[in-house]
Amino acid sequence: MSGGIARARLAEERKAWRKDHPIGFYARPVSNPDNSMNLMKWDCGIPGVASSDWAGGVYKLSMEFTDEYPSKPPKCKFVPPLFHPNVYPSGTVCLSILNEDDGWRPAITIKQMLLGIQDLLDNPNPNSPAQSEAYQMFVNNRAEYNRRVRLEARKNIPQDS
Amino acid sequence: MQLPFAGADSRDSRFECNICLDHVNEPVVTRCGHLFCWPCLYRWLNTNHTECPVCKAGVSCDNVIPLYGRGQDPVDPRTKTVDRSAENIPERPTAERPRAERPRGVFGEGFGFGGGGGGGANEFAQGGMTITAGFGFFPSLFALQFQRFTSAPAGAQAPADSEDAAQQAMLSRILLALGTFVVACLLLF
Repeated sequence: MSGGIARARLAEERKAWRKDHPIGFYARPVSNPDNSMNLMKWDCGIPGVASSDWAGGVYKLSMEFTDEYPSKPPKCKFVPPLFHPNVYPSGTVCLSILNEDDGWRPAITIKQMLLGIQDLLDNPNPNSPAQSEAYQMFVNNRAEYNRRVRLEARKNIPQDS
Repeated sequence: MQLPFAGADSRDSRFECNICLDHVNEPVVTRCGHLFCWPCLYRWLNTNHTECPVCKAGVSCDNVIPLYGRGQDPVDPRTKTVDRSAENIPERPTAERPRAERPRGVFGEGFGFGGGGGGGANEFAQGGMTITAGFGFFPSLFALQFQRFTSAPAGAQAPADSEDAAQQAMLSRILLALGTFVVACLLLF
């Protein structure tokens, strides 16, 4: 119904991102087979915070927007799925600001979402576990958890830089 | 870091809609102070939301305030991809117009000078507009009574005087009503 506004807003998001974005991040609409931009799906990269065990890795995330955006949040998914207590086995991120019924507000920008997810990496929320492996390890064996995180960071070192 | 007006082509984001992030079209502002295009905000509120898209304060279609800038909407309507007629987006709510507060004390003074037939020094003190207009009916009746006020020094008026003036105001109102009544009777019968 409001596909017009979703696309118009995403065009503005794109403009704003190109003008200014946080260091180490990337976010761009995917290309259609005919080389045109598909504004409804973005490929993003979130760097781990330098002082954390996630440092060194840039974690790939896809954002899928619907025509209801920005009334509804995009679906944010780590590809491949990430080892993290608040990431579902499918890769989908469980975060209040990305939840339509919780913290989502139309004024939240792509930049804010990515910064929020970056913050979540090193500050997992044990009150809303999304995968058992990372959650159990985070709760029961923190040393092993930290080791797994560093392994995850090494797996996600960007190739082309 | 960021200059308020960074360049010719970069628009000032302080006046962008918080939903479409574009230059605001038909601007409305919420009680919590957040700026939106009316169509953008309406779509949000029309999908069972009752909170501000920025800060989650309570918002309804009725308690937003339209902003009327100078001249027409600066945005070229052709650049807007949204067809509002297709979605039945109503007109913006209209602004409230609270009564201007009358400065204190003007009533008595305006009364006095008005009665003096414009002989008073401060012309702008004719705050009691309806009353001064009313004197037109009985100028000869009141002129004498009010002469006193105009001739008295402006600063020297004691509270007793203004009480006096208030009483006279009441009297003149009654007489005015009476006069109006008589005129009405004359017209009707």
